[in-house]
Amino acid sequence: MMFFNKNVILATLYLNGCWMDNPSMNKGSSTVVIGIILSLVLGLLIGVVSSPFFVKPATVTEKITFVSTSHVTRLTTQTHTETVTVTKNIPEIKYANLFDISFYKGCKIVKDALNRTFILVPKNEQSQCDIEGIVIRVPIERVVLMSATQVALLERLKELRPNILDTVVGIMWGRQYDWYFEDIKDALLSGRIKDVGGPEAPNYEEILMLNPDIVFIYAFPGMEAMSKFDELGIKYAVINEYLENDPLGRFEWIKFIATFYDLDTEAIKIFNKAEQTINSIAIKVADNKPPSIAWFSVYKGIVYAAGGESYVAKALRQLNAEYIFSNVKETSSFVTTIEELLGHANEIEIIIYPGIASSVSDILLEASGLSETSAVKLGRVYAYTPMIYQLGFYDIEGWYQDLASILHPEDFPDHQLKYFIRLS
Amino acid sequence: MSRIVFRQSKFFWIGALLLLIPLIILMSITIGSVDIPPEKAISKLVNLGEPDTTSIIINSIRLPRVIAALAGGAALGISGAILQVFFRNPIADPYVIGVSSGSALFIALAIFMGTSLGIGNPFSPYTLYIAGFIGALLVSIFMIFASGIVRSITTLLIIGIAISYLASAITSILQVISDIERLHVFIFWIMGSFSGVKWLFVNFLLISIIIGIVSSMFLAKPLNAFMLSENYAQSMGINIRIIKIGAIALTSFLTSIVTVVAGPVGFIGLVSPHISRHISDTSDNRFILPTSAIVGAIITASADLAARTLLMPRDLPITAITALFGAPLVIALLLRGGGS
Repeated sequence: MMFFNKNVILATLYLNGCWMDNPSMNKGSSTVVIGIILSLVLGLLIGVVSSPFFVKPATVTEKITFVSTSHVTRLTTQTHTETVTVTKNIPEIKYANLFDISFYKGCKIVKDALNRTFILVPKNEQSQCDIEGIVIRVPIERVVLMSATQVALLERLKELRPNILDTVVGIMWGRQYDWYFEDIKDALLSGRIKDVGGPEAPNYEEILMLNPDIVFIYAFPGMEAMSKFDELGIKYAVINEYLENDPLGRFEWIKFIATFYDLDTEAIKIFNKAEQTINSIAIKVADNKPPSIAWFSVYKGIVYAAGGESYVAKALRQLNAEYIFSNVKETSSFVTTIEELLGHANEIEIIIYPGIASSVSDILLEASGLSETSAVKLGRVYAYTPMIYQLGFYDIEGWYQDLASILHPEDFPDHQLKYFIRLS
Repeated sequence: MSRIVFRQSKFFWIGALLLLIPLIILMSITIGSVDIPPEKAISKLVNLGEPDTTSIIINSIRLPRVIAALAGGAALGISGAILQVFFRNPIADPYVIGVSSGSALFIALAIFMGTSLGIGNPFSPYTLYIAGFIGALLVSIFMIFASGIVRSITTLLIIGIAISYLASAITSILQVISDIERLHVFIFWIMGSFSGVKWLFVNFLLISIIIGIVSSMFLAKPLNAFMLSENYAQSMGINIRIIKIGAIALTSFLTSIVTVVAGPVGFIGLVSPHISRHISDTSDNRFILPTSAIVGAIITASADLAARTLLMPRDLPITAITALFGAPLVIALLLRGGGS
């Protein structure tokens, strides 16, 4: 069944590729119908024939040295320098599950979150690949972004490529956000970066006029923009970092974006540094007594809580905390009742409210029964600060540091919270 | 003499309204994020000169959108006119027969439970169209079946409303158990929009609307008899059962197509027949049906233009615009006519 699904997806990819090359096809419905049938059949054949040989291990061409730690416990910390041989421009994907970067017959192949195939060809070079896919000339010079998290990843790449934001020509909902990245805010105000409408109904005209090399989007069920982009011949790549169930998996999408800029080595360095910092934070709190934590928001009596297999739960586990819904097999948020939440009231030592709240009483208005929890009694109730949605993703180490200091304040006595606020 | 003047008046309005359509098309293809002068727009429209970004904007974004809005508005206008006469209820509109609720229910199932129910690829842009169409089709089939066995038209109206409530109830349950991200997608769909409409659907919509409008003209005379009473229509030799099935089948079909392409577009089906009756000063359905189609097309295309330009670069939901500008217009017309 999975094999079949994979090939159907490959067939769809092939179909998308056809539309990109021939946007005029859509004007005649009969042509499109014939095209769809032919593409499906061809796509299926290609999928069946090529799938076993498609993804090859990366070829080793360059050595990168970085420091890493091998054990996550305070008593047995072992920090050692490791020389890892990796292919130049082919980063190893450690945590993310939804994208892939590989080499095949000298071609750099990238798979996005919807398993669509991209062939990245250096500018001024002829593509030698015999693989079906969307050809992107790299490094890209004009890009439209759909979310603040994509901006955050580019901002992070700015550490090693200072002018990278000059490539951003449009941001969906750009002028709707309160930007914490000053350069983005200024560029939007000056009009250098255009606001290109909302993700549900992008301003296709503006995007066309911007003539981007690629539009980085995130996909959600029922999203219509992708088929319209196909019709218009606008190339797009799907970054669904929000579906990764590991915080580092989400941040690892920096490698995906970087590869379109030919900045793979830079992305590896940034990622490894972040990973190393997070590991050291985890080591620091590894032997503490794990506190019990609830991570939820409430609206009109409905509790929206982080799933037991979500990135939040993963981070809490990593930071030696016991999440009250760790047994719920959900990778994103899930809906539950106040009664269910209050069933854990005796355990809850810390509450994190993943939203903006001004005081504990705001939360108690929705769920008054929480007043008996030790979290409320001891004032260990936290909410997000508005900057978390942009800077929290950009500064993943800072996010971990904040979280660790909330969970284990004794280990971080002087830490000032940035992305969370303690509610009174 | 007065009869001739009366007839001229009706034809004058139909002609005047028809003349507005090319004007709205021209406005729709010239106004937007990118300013395109009318002469350039027309030359690109007739494929003069080299194809460039402007021609893609006109031919692949603005033109399909305005045509879809015109066709969708015409379908809703004519459906509203048929149902108001058929149910003898001035506040009946195409959504009273539950089609959009059925469509919404299946779209909600696809969005909220798509993965667990194995309804296609939840990320496929076509999943929602297919789900919406199945929902509308199932309700339409049920309503056609009901219209064949139910004698009273009022009962049929109540069945339609009950189906709407039933579908809405299940949709509400799905919304409650959904996560916020999926809820956001669903809410955007139920607000209705012609944004991003594709030629594939425009062609489908156009063919359906032409078939629908032509077929509806066969209903005009029987509906005239219906306005007096069901018994009167029967005494005129009209087969009531056939008319019931025909009216429900036609309006379900037209509403389904529009709902699948643009989501529920409110207000058009309700107000177009009222405006048509007011301006043409007749209740003769041979005039009211085509006039309602034209009025519906004009209001919808104008509202769509406003929806995409008022808060550029953002698109507003079309129902908000149709109600915002349509409601005062209808109230003014009704008040001018003394509320009769």
